[in-house]
Amino acid sequence: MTPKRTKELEPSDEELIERFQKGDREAFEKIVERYKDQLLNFAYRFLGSRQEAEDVVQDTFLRVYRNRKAYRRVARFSTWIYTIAGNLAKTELRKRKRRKLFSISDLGFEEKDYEISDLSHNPEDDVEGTLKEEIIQSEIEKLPPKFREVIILRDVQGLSYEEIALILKIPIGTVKSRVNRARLRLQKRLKHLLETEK
Amino acid sequence: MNPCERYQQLIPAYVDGETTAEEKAILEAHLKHCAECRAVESRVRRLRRLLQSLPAVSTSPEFGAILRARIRLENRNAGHIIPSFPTWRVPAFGLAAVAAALLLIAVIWNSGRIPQRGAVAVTSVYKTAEMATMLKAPVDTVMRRVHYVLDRVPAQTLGTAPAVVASRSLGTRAVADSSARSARQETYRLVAERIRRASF
Ligand SMILES: [Zn+2]
Repeated sequence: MTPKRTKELEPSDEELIERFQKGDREAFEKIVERYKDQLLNFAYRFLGSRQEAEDVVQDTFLRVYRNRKAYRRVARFSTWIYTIAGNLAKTELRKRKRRKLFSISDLGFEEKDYEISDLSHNPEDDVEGTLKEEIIQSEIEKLPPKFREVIILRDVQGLSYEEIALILKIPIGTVKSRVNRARLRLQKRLKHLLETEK
Repeated sequence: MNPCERYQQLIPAYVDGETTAEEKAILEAHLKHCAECRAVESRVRRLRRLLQSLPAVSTSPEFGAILRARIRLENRNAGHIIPSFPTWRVPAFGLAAVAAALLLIAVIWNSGRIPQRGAVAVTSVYKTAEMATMLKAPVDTVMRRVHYVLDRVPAQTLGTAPAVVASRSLGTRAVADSSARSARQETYRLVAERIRRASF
């Protein structure tokens, strides 16, 4: 694939990271702008929590910042950053399990003092659409992580099998078979939604 | 084995445009005659459309400011501003927690004296979700608790008044004046200004 370019001749990701390696901080800001939402979507669909997803994306950029010198042009920048984000998302999942093992309950807050902030959805939200999204999301989350990451990268993010293989460091054949199995599973679980889908 | 199974295994890759030209030709020839395989193909396409229809989310408005502040914090930590923080790593914050932690850090940078009276407010450098598990409380309750902390840090602490943060590698304990709920907006403004001015 060719680097993304617009009429304005935007620099490629690889040019940006190289500029950043030479100390250009504006180039880093541009990278953040370019990737923050797409990484958030990946992490959000993988983890199912906006908060955790946003943390993962923050951590991803912090790693890019810290380890900028480690990037080499042999790999595409997008592959590199997705690998970092994917690893952090999986670490988050493991931490979530570990966190359940211990708890601190004696920090003593005065519950009554808190205002209840309005976290409800916009009333104009389409209820059916939201429900459908929730059903799909919960089925994605039920997939084992290795199927989940593949199906999100493929069907939500639209990456090619080759890119996915590079990001996850697995053979293309494995990507293919995981995509197949994840889809078969989702097809079964989302049968009712698929019947109404044109 | 059902002769169609072999074809059906090719369908997902076919729908993704990831088959070889040869596989594509063989499959297309079969699809013309086989309604069952066409139905499989249609299901795969519908599933893909369904997944693609998931609404996209975007980062919160504070995302950039928080990232800049974290980077600045990391750079600062290397300079031993807050020696009890590990200098080699900034713990991963929840967004609300980071806001609270940054506020508290801003407070320490500006003062360092202990308040005469005050509520003890505890926030931590854990992610919000981690705090939620530890506190056995939902995330939004944790957010409210963090806001509670913010509410209790008076604006003037940023200038002259007192606050103390004893930080451990695990968390940050803040002792803050409890009388200044009304100063919240001013506090936010001052903190926002500091974050804006922060450079890498
Ligand atoms: Zn057939």
